[in-house]
Parts: sequence; structure tokens; C-alpha cells
Amino acid sequence: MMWRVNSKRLAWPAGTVLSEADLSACNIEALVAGEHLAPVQEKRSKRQPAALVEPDESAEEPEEQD
Amino acid sequence: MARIVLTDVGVVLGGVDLSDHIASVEISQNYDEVETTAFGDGGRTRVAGLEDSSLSLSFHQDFATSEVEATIGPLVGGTAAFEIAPFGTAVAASGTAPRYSGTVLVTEWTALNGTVGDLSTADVTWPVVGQIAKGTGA
Repeated sequence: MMWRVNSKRLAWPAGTVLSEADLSACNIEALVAGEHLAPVQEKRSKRQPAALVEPDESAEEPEEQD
Repeated sequence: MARIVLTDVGVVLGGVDLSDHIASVEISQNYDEVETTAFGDGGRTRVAGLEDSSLSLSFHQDFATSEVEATIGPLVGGTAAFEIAPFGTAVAASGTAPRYSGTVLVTEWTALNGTVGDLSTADVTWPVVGQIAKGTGA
């Protein structure tokens, strides 16, 4: 889970994205309630994974040339 | 050693710098007094017991987003780390500019206080959980 700084009152400038490890000494729930932090929505890629291309067995092998 | 006029004390609570909404701070370090008087002693003898310290602050109430009420309200009933920098948070800790840190139990909160024409303030005294650490950058 990642968190974006929304407040000017934290040690990090507004807009900074922090991990839970960065905030280990903080009460994240209280900081979110106070609107100092907001959860960062993880973006999911819209790209489909590349389709596997099966080798075409019918393709002719190149003729050997002398 | 120069005397100190407090003009820029940094107060960070739960990671949030609320210095510009605090007008008074008191770090009170106390220890239990444990009597060790025994037969043969001509007077009572004592040693220091457990630390029982507290942090007192005077807030200027502010209900705006991410300000005093929004920060302290969610902490009531729980604990919060604190850091007090007598010369501001931008000044690195040193022997002549110590920083005090620890954890308080947020036992009280006065969301609204004052009479007509007054600044709304909230004076609190929170007990310290454990001990207060004094950082000198060493």
C-alpha cells in the first residue's frame, strides 16, 4: 500500500508518495483521518499481455543453397 | 550560556508539525521517589524510581482540513510520537539545541473552549509512555 502526502505539515512535501515502511513510526490511520495522507490507487495496465505465437509447422523451411 | 527567548519551538505530534498553532509547551520530567531508609540511617534516604513524565501544550484550535482538530481528534485515546525542537525543526539537534522526543498517551482533548471574544484554545497535559529521549546529535 502506498500513500500520497496531501498536507504541508508533514516532514515530506505535498505530493510525495510513501510506503508503509516510510511511515512506520506514524499512525497512518490518524494521518488519513486528518487528511494528511491519502491512499494511492494502484494503476492497472490496460495493455493485454502479448499473445504467444505458436510456431507455424506448415511453414516451409528455407531451402539450402549451395 | 545565552539565555533563551522562545520564538520558534518546533512541535511535531504523530509526524505532523503543528508548531504554528501552539503557544505554550512544557516538558515535565519526573521520577517516582523510592524510599530506601533502613535501620542505622540517620535520615531518610531515597533513590529515583520509574520515570513519570508529561507533555503540556496549549493549542490554538483550528477546524480546517489537516489542521489542529483534524490531526488531534483521531489520536484521542491512543498514543502519538512527539518531537520538541526548542529552536525549530529546521535546526539540527546538537548539544546547544537539543531535541526531546517520546510517545504520549492522548488522554484528553478539548475540542472547543473559550468565552465570547476569546481565541479558542485547547490546553492539554498528556502523560508520557516510557521515557523522554534527549537528542543532541551526538
